[in-house]
Amino acid sequence: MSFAARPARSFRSVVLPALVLLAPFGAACAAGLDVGGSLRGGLWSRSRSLDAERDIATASVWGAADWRPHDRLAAHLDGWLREESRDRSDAYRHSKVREAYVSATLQRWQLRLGKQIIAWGRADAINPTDRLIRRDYTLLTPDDADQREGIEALRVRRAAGPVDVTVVWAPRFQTSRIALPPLPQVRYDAREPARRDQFAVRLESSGRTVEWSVSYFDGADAVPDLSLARVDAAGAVVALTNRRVRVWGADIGTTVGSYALRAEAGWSVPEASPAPGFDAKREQLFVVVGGDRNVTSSLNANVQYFAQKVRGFRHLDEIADPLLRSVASRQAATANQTRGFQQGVTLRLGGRWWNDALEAETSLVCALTTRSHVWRAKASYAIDDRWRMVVGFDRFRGPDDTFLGQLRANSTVYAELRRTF
Amino acid sequence: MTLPLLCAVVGAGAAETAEAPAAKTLMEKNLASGKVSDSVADAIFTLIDRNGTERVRRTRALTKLQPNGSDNMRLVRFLSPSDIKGTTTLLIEHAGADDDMWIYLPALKKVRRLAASNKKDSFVGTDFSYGDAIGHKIDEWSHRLVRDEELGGIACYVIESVPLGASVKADTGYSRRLTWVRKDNFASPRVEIWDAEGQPLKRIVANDIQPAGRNGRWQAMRTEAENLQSGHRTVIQLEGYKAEQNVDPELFTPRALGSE
Repeated sequence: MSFAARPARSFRSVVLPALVLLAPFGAACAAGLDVGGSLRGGLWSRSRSLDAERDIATASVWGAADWRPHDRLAAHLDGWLREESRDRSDAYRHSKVREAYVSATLQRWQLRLGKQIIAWGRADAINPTDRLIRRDYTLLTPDDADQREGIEALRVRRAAGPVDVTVVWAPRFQTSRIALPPLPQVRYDAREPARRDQFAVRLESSGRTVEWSVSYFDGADAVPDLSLARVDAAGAVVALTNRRVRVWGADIGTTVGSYALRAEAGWSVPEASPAPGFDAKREQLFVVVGGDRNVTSSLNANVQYFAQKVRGFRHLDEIADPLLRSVASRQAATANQTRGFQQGVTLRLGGRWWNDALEAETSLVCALTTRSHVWRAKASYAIDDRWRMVVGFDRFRGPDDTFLGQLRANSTVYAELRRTF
Repeated sequence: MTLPLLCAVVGAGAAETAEAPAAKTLMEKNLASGKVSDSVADAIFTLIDRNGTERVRRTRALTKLQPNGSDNMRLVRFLSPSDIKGTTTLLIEHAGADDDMWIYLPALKKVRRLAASNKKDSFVGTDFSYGDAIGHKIDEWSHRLVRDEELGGIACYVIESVPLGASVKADTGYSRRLTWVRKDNFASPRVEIWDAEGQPLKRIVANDIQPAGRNGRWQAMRTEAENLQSGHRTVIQLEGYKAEQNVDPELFTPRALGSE
């Protein structure tokens, strides 16, 4: 048989019959398939990478597909493709699969396997119990939620009367991408964690007057620790290490008249505890308490108080070497452990007008102890059912050695046009 | 006071007393006329501004009566457009307490509980409030039979309802409602609403009222709410409405919202 005849014969004898047999299945699949997404074009005055980039244009396609062939079976796929006008020297991705999982429900059991976003915590925006999240903090997108990425995990959920028990096991770990300033003669070296598996369990009660949950997490910290690995002829090498951490968490929520009240707390114990050096996070308790109410029929106000206590806090003044102290200062700021005790408030005002055609929101996170803050605002207008315009800004202020102040160079103004399909 | 005048006064008082319970009874029958044991429907919400520009939202809605036979549960999941797809609201009535409301926000992957006063707020951007969607509690309003009137060839009672107390007015945003109640089946083809300042606010018209289930219940297949102050209108068209489907009560829990 000639070389050219083989493909033709294979097509007739194998492929064609397969297509005929699979066509009804494909049609059934297509019948239960729901696809949607958006095309987005944006312009950003600054990046979120603590660099000197200005006036960055972005173009992206976001898509999601859901397939539900049966009431008790579902599959979900979610991801994006994007391009930017700037040159990026870091390991920049032009595409990402955010979620890809299948889920099955059997009586009181629900199983979900694959890459999935698991969000925990009842507080607004600041969630000390939300440890199963991966996030690209440098991604230029108006919505914080779009920076999130799923983890590859098995999630098992069992309804046991008024309480749900959720167990999550993730065999692989992926770090969050944080903003690190590009400095002359400084290289960043991401280290693989010694243990990559992660485990979490949560008990939750919902649907009653008071809703609550308690949780436990044992895994790698998504935000890496910074430490000086070595100094060579080319300069300093700063290691990024995602150390193991255990987190005990709890949250609670209820409504009292016109107020919705929430509180959340997380006690995190890193593996290096109880006496780490300056190159690792320390044990801490982080608490958020607050609530929201509608101040008018179209305007909602959310106010929270937060406090953080770091165990065994040590001042950077103990470090004599200036290079070590500089790295330790960046580590403390990145870990948000620049003081033994910190407190602050958050305020969010959000509203919808013109039958939800216009949505606007402004938020302030103010760290009172360190006199630093981030002020953000965003307005979104639906031109019609398909087109939406979003404009906004982020403004970081504070001393360089603080969590929010170190992000000052990420202050930006942006606009985005979005077309959904 | 002479005896005839005394009788007239007593008679007038008796007639007034007979009207009030009748009006309240009519409103109770009106509320009951739409309460099926459960239902499933796809709905198209068309939002039309004063310039005629339309925005369309598609939903899948489930309802189920609680075991007490009077309090309802309502689940509404938005299917389109893409920017709100997956957003789901859950409303659970409680006769003797504040109603419960939750919303699932797909972007956050979280279920959020809403406070009770949100009842006067717009239901996901439509001209219906959350209170309009849940229904107004009969005992929180004072009802009076105003007149009889024929509407579209069908005889109706016209009943005026005013809030019993400032808190009801504040929670609902309404100072007065006029409800047309059909004499044949107690369904309501029309409601007119005044805002908290006493100004005409809203008109709700229900058309294509059809039997729902096997127990003498009725459901409007098309309902339109017009905001008389902004000129904005919302039309809800039901498709594939089915009652008494043995809908699983587990679907009406925050747990079920968050499992999507």
